[in-house]
Amino acid sequence: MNRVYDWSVSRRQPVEAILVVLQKVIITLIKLLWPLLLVWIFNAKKNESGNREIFIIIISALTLILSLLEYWFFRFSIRANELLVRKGFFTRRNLALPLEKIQAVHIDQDWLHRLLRLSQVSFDSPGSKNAEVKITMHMHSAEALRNHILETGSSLGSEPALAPLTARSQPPFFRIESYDLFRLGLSANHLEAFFILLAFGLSVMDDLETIIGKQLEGPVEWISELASSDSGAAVLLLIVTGLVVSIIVSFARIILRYGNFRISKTSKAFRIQSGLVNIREKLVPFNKVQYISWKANWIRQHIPYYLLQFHSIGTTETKRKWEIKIPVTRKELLPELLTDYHPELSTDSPAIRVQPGYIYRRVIMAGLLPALIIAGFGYFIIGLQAAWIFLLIPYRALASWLYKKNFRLFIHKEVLQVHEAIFGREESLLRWQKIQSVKIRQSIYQRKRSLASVLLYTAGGVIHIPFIRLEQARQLLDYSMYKVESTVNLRESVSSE
Amino acid sequence: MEFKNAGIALDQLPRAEEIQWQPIDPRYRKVLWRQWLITWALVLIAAALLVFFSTSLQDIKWISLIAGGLVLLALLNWVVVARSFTFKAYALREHDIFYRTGWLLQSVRVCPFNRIQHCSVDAGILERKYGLSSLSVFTAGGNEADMKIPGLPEPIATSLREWIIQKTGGHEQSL
Repeated sequence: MNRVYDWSVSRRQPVEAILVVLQKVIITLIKLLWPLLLVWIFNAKKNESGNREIFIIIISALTLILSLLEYWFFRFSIRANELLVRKGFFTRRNLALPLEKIQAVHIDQDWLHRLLRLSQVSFDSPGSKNAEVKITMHMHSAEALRNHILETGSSLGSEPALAPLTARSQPPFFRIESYDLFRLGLSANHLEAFFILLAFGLSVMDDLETIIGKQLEGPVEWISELASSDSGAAVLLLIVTGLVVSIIVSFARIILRYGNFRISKTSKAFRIQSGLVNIREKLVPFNKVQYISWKANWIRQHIPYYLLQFHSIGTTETKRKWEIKIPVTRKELLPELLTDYHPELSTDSPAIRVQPGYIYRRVIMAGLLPALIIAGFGYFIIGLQAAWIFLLIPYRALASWLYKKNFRLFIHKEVLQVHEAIFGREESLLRWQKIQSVKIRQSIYQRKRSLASVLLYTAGGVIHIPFIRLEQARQLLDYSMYKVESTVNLRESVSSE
Repeated sequence: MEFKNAGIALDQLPRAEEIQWQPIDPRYRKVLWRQWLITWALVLIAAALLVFFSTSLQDIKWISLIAGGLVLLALLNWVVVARSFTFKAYALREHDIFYRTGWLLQSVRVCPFNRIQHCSVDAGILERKYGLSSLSVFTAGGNEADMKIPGLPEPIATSLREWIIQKTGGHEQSL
């Protein structure tokens, strides 16, 4: 059904969006007041004064009214090639986002959006994070708005319009299978999941202690008793339980994030869809990609599985929220994803390597010094147990040695590729033209030994090349300036090729 | 391993180390001195208040330890500030702008004009007193300035800004 939309007319979000606002209010309230609610539920019988309930009701009502006002006063339109948004009741805000500055348009759908046939549209633009705009609208309107913005925006610039955006009709060239999901879940960083769970558990306990006003020593005592008991079986039980819970959490995270994952391709962009419950659809125009990185942890690099990321423009906050890592579970997928940027460089070619001074410096600055400081303070709190922190030194020595041993910087006339590996592996591929500025940094130690670190700033992030020879660092700077300055204009740096 | 690049003779590229550096205006040292004085005066006042309100710290040992530590830190800080001032300098080439700074950790940063989004001239109260300004240069992708050159005489800062805008004007500004 081809509808014609007049975007110049200032409009509100659809009425159903009120329910989305309500959902947001409830989630915000639960996030803010959950400890109070828990105490309220469990102490319902003992509760003597009704002050707490009145407080909760007042806060809820106020937030609800404010949110409805926010809905009512939110209006948007497109005039003179600018997306105009007027919002706010107490603080009126008028935002004007030039269409040609919009780098990407995202369409997001959680379960409620899907139920109401709505979606949330948001935009990547190289501006301040405060200028972030999110609009809730019907799915067909969202797609029409996205196409209108991208077509108008690109036609205002020097590039041809991003016309073939109708990738919805194109079959995906990659779709994640259940088998891949299983292997991804199995090879996830369970240790990371374990520490996230531990930190979450401790933070919840701390919050509850603050609210209840008494210490929740039960679980901690139980664990410490179990750990200090002579029974090997008890310790084993503790470890196995922690591991099993971590694996379940890792699996759940992988399935929620990568369930229903698919990529299709138009002549100008990748369309990436992911998420089992909250569906996210990201359109990545090839020419907006600043650099590409792909990495694998120790297990995944042996399978081999990688998570690939397109680094494009956007404020840090928006980028983080819209970060979609592509699971590369087939060998042939990597060249396919890189082909519109630049093929991977051959690892047989000569490379720049990190100098040995890197290991000594890392051991001193990131191992010995922090260990001494932490141990110094820790001694007064936990006594000699604080000496365990000195294990950081051999760990840092091993990690630095592995990093120095494996680091390679491959140079090509169009791109550079950084290969980094400690326990896992990470590759970054950057076109010279995408560089925004370059910094050469030297500590006293580096100056004495004619060494330097180089930072290559792009609109999508920074690439760090540590401890190379000063002469090489200067050559990198000279060559990158030559490549950048021989580019015709700024647009080419961010959106060419 | 040597850095090789087929097709382009690296020795024929313009070399960054041969550029002529322009030092920061000497009056900027006075600005730094006053900034240092104000900062450490505030820190000392805060420490004095802490000692005044905390009876457990009202002991000659604690007072001398805190005072001695703060004086030592302040002196070290001044050494770093004064030494880094002598290294601060900027340079202009036909297509880019350089700025170097630091003492213990020295850095040289270069921004090509065809990547600059916008630039601005700012002056704080102390800088204004000495007729100085700072030039900030912004490229795409970040919310903060990529390069901030302090201690420029106000007319030079303004003309530098105009010159950079003129140079970037030849390039498309929008992304």
